Amino acid sequence: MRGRRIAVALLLMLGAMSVHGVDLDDLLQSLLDRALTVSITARVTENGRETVQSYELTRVTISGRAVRLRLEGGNLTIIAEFTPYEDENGILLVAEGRIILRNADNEEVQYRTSLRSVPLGAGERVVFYPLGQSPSGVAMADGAAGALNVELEVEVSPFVAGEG
Amino acid sequence: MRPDRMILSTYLDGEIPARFVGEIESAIASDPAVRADYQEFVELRRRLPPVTADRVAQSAQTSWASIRSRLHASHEPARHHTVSIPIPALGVAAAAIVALAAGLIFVATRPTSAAAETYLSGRHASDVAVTIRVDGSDMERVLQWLADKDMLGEINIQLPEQQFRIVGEPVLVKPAQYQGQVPE
Repeated sequence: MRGRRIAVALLLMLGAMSVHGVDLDDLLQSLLDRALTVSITARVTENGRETVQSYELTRVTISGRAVRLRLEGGNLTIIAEFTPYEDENGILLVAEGRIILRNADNEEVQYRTSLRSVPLGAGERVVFYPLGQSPSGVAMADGAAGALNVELEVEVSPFVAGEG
Repeated sequence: MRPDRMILSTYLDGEIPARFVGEIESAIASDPAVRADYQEFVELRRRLPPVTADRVAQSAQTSWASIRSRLHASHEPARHHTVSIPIPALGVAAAAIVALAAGLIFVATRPTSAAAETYLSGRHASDVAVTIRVDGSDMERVLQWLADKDMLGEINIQLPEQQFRIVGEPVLVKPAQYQGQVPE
């Protein structure tokens, strides 16, 4: 498990300040009180309007810890990470996208990375277009009518007990 | 398929999806220009000094000693100190710092009431670098807790088996900035 590897690696590699007189259950609950819910709707759209495919998912995280998605299909692989940073002014959402895309003629593979950020209020939504956003949509490589694009709609809100 | 230099670098990092690996390796074997780029990256990595666990541990100990000496000189109680570690920019140590800033590792010590809330509430929400060490069985409990709260794991989504194309620069926008209507 990835979380186990990270945790074990940290134990092996670094010492830590010890906190005296702190109960584990109390600490976990206190951290949960500060947790954030990241709700993501991943859509494949046609012509920028019709939804061909849609996935809704939710993850719980804390400020500074990313939620990671991997979308694969056809000639495309997208690895997207959304990291919320919370302070007294609100939430800053950082979106990182990595795209691996093979051209229709299979002669070339493109690799693109991007990093975008936007300030958010709790419960406010944003949409990340890792392939870009075109009003007319993306032309299919085979020339057929219809144009596909990928949208990742994200909402960050405080964690509510009973979720997760 | 002819991979460019960025693809080759990503391939050497082991971050290329498995279904592309065979094609990249074929291109390296058959295309002299691609092979030359690939060998250049391999040679560059060979020349870089290796990062060993001992070296990282030694750097970590040095940094911790510096932090502790500064903490002892302050008037704050130890439990209110955040952990911001100025560890040198070694690859493995840098990854550990990122994990520390966002990780959840805890120490279970003598139980007491309200200490956890006091400990955490003493810091601003932006002070995310909190690190505590977990012992044995508590690690399993923490990992299970993380899994129960949907805090672990990568989300995998299957896209349609059709051709996509990059149409522009990636965009992160709020609904008020949509150029078109919201999809139905």
